[in-house]
Amino acid sequence: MTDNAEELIHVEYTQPWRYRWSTGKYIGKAYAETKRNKRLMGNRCSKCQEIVWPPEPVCPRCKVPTGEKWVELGDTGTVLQYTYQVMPMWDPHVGRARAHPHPSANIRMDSGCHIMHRLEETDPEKLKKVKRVKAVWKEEGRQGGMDDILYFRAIDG
Amino acid sequence: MEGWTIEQLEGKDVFVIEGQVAIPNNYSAGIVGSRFLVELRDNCRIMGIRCPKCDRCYVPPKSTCMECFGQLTEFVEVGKSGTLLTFTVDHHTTPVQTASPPNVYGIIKLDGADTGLLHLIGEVDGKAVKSGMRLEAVFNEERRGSILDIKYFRPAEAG
Repeated sequence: MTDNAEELIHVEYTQPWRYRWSTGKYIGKAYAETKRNKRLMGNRCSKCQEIVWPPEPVCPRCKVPTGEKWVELGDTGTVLQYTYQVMPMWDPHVGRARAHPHPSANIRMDSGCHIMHRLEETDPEKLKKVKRVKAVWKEEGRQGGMDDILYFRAIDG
Repeated sequence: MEGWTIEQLEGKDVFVIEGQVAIPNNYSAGIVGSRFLVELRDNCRIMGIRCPKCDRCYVPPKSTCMECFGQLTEFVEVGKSGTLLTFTVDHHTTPVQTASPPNVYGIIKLDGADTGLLHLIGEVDGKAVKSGMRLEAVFNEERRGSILDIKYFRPAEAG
């Protein structure tokens, strides 16, 4: 198509995507509680009485205003599912891999709601035996949010 | 690529989270687009591509004719100046802009071309730009095979 040996042009670039978002009132309350009191707080739907996590102004099931009936989720739960990660999990804040890989898990809290978080145990064989877990909170440098919990640690019973 | 911040609004249970994510991109100009960009970079020539069947000249060039869908191979050089078909003045700031606002964007039909080329218009106040005015290309000193090897189009001298 061209006279000489073709030179094909391609452009490689890294595009920065800047973001800035506000938590709003409901997530803000949850973040403030993790930061200040090391507590996970959800709100209870006024209609179905289920815990909404993360807290929202409208119940995702009933589509009615949830109100501000705050309930504590507690620190203990049961692992329903987990992944053994070969690839470290991406940190959505910066779009890069997290420095310290931990398995992700779907945990059913004793209060009844499900949360996604990380497990302390990284050995695939030992992971199979992990059932009951408890949140391990950061003692220092809590900023608000789920990263105020380092991971969930296996407990007895 | 930096980290992110979380800021608690004073006295309130509301947080603002701010940061950025790096998205790696690789854009390929293709065979026809590459020839166009190489000519811009090496020879300061603006190339079009002609469909002999429909007698249309496309600038920027494309590999397929929009009328007859034939494969196009006939590159022709078009003029460095042309007529402004339409334009807009942009006062908004976005991160993808190469220059600070206000920016004037125009669609320019170069001499010898049958289609319009989108580019920036410079050296003129936005209020003085009019459809139908004559414009000429200003090339950058340092060119790297990009559409921005043309710095912008400026009003051409009369005649």
